Amino acid sequence: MKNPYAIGKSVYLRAPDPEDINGNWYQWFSDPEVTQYLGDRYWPNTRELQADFFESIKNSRERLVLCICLSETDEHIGVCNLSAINWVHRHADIALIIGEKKYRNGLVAVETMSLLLNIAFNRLNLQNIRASHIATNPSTSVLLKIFGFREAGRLNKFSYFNGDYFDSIFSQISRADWANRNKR
Amino acid sequence: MNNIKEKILYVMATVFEMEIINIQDDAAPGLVEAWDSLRHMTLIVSLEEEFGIRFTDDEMTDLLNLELIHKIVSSKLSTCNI
Repeated sequence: MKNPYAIGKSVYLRAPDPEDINGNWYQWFSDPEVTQYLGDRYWPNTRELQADFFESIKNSRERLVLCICLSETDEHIGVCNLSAINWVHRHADIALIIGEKKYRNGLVAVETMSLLLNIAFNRLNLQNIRASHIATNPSTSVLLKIFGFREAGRLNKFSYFNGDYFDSIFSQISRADWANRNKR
Repeated sequence: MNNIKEKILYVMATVFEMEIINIQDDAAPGLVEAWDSLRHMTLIVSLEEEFGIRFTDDEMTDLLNLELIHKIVSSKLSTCNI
């Protein structure tokens, strides 16, 4: 493992490295299948734009971006983040993308979400995590449900997807709810 | 076959839209074609509803195949019954 920040059973999370800019990372964000449910990815991504993004996040304390890597091979297969971190109110937004399609079987997403929530609540001492998704994205809806996120509200017909408009759904989980669910 | 495993197979058959008889003992993502991302997570929700349990984050990351699912569900149910 290279510079692991959080270690799971089959994947680990680490800080992005300048070498990642030359890998598949930037291509995931041009791929229509990978980005179909993202809110702000309608423009093609490039290596240069990825380098700009890397520069913008590398010293950030408002956004924690982490690479998802396979423990066995160190392959970089996705990316996740806590963004809009507010250190006064102690909340942040959560998101993850599995870029390498052969690992989009749910297992990596579940393990990554588990690691990221643990980072948010145990290491960064945040109190609330927010997630948002378009109503036509069933995988994220179920992922949030199994981790105990509760729907907090929705914006009616707010997001465009494949010729129609769908609700944008906002969900949240508090530290107390997360801790309670993980009591043995 | 015990009752717990029968129920797990029933849930899996429903989620994966396949016959119970076609679910092998080594069933896992990659071996069962229908075991994709959405169905994996739907399986977790369905198991929680069927057995009236809640998996911890740690347990969810161990639900990697039929054998482990059976082991974890059985363990949770035995704890609930103490």
